Amino acid sequence: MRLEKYDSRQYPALSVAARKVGASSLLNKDFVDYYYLAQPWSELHLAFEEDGSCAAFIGWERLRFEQNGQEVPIGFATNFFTLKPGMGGFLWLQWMKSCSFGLVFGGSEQTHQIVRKQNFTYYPGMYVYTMNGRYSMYPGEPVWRNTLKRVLRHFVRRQLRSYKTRSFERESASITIEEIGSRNASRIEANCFSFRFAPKEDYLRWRYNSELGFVRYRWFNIFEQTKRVGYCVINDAPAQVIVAHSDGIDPKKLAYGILKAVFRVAENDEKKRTALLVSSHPAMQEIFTRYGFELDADRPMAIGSLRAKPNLEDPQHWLINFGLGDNDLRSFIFHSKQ
Amino acid sequence: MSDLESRLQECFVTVFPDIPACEITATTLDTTPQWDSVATVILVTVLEEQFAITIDPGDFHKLTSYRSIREYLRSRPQNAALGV
Repeated sequence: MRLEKYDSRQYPALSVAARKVGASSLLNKDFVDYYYLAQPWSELHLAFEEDGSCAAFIGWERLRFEQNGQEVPIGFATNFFTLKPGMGGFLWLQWMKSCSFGLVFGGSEQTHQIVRKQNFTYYPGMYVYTMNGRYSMYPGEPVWRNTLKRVLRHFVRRQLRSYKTRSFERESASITIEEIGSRNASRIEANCFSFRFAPKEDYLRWRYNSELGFVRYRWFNIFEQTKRVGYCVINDAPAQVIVAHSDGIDPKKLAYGILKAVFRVAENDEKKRTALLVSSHPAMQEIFTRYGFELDADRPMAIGSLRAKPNLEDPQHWLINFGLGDNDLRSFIFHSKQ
Repeated sequence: MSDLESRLQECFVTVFPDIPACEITATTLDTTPQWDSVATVILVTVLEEQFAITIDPGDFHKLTSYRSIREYLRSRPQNAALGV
């Protein structure tokens, strides 16, 4: 066994392994090289067998969170897969030793087996909401019920723009949005969330670059009258409109701005797309559900380290978005540029 | 049996309780079905605690069998006094 940091010469071995485990985003070399080689804060590590085949891989990003205004660096695991039992554990430990705290958001059952054994702290309430969703199947639900849901959804699904009601326009009249490119992106300094992902501009312009070929990000500044109160980044994917990232000084104003951005992105849709976002904040959840979003799932989030426990407050005061790490890039990535 | 060896066996028994004691020394990543990624994480953590050491990720490739781990531990200066 040998462990190596990824460079582009290893792509053939990586792509073979990625295909075997279904890591679809890694089948796009443009994405892999951009995401894992273009910046020092995102890396991919591979475990090789003696014959040169790739037996496991893990990526990680070093993310800048803020807790009550104080910077908190956290490692985020991306694309953790093991073809050979045992070898992935070494990569996992390599990741954990590279950061003070690690964060898992989503992830496979194999990942959560390790997370549980390492006594990470789980933070419930990271709810995924969908608007115009296809259907949700729940364990234990009768087959007839799932079938009925599928049929009903087929007939009741509609254009996202139809969720933009007069009452929404009236209620959010003081909030406006303006589309910008990521080159003009700037962060929000003061805000009311006790814990949030708060990267610097160089990270924002790289991670949510609006000029990439394999994913289409659209940036919106959010204003109340003339004051900038937030921004959001939408992953404008062929079948989904995903709220990848956002930040703001007030949860309600941010929620209205996010909804306006979703409607703007979908205003000329011919397809019946689904909108998707994550929220743990009750005030934002209330606005999202009032205007068409439905609770879909509780996405597992766990934070831990090799030795210490995190000291974080109630997640209801956090701002969490779906596009942490590579979350919004796993299955929504375009493959046209391969 | 040296102190190092008995402590190492203790680690393996902790991580792989289903493996008979007489087979512990033959345990390898390649041939032991119970040695999955979770076991790797626990094993390295247990080794670090048992021997009061920090294992550098650059040495992980040396930890793929009972015997290679024994050699790795012997090579560490603080364990030389524990004998063979």
